[in-house]
Amino acid sequence: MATEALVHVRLNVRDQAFLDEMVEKGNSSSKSDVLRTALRLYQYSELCGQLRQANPKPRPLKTILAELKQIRQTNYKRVFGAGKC
Amino acid sequence: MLKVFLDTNVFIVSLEDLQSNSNLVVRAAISNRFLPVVSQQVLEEIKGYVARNYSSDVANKYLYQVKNIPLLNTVPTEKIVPAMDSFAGLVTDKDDLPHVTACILEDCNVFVTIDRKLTQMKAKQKIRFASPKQFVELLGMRSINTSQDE
Repeated sequence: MATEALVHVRLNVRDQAFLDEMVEKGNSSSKSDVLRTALRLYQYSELCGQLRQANPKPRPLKTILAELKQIRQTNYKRVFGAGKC
Repeated sequence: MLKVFLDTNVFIVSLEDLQSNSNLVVRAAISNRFLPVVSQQVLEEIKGYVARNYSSDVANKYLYQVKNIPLLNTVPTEKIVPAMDSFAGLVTDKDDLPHVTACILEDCNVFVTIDRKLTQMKAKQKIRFASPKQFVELLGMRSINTSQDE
C-alpha cells in the first residue's frame, strides 16, 4: 500500500487520468495491474525527464525524421540486402 | 479494442518531446488503451537512433520500457520476409516495406506515423494511416496543438 501511495503521489496529472480511465473502463483485471501500469508510466516519465534535463530543447522534427530515414535505409540493407524488392 | 501499428518516429518523438501527441500515444499504449503492434525493425531502429544520439545505456533502458508495454505485439522478421513481395507495389521506398507488410499481416486497424510521405504511397489503399494527433483524437482524448505535423 505504501508503494502504491508513493506511485500515485508522484504521477503527473495526465498519467493519473490514464489510470483513472483504466479503472473506469475495466481495462485492468486487478488492482495489481493498475499498480504495474502506474509504475510503467512513472518510469517512462522519469526516463523522458532525465533526457530533457540533459538536452532541454527537443530536436526539430525534420532533423529527427531525416535521421530515422537514414537508419531505416541502413537497417533495410543490412537485414534484407540491397537488391530485395 | 483497436489494433494499431506504431511507427518508429512515434516512439522517438515521444522521447524527444514530452509535450507531443506521440508522447500521449505511447502513454496510451502503456495504459492498455489499444493493442500496439510493431515490427522487429521498429525496435532495431529505436535502438539505433537512441544509441547514436544518447548512449547505448539509454537505448537499452528505452527499449526495455517499450518491450514491456503489456499488450505489445512484435512481428518477427521471419514472418515478414515471405510476405514482403506481395506488397512491394504499395510503397515507393522499399525500406518502408517491412513495416507496411507487418501492419497488413497483423490486420491492424490503423498505422500511426509522422512520415507524411509514407501516408501518400499506394499503401493507403490497404492501410488507414493516422498522425499521432489524429490517433489521439480517435481515442477520444484531447490532442496537443503542435506547430509541426505531429
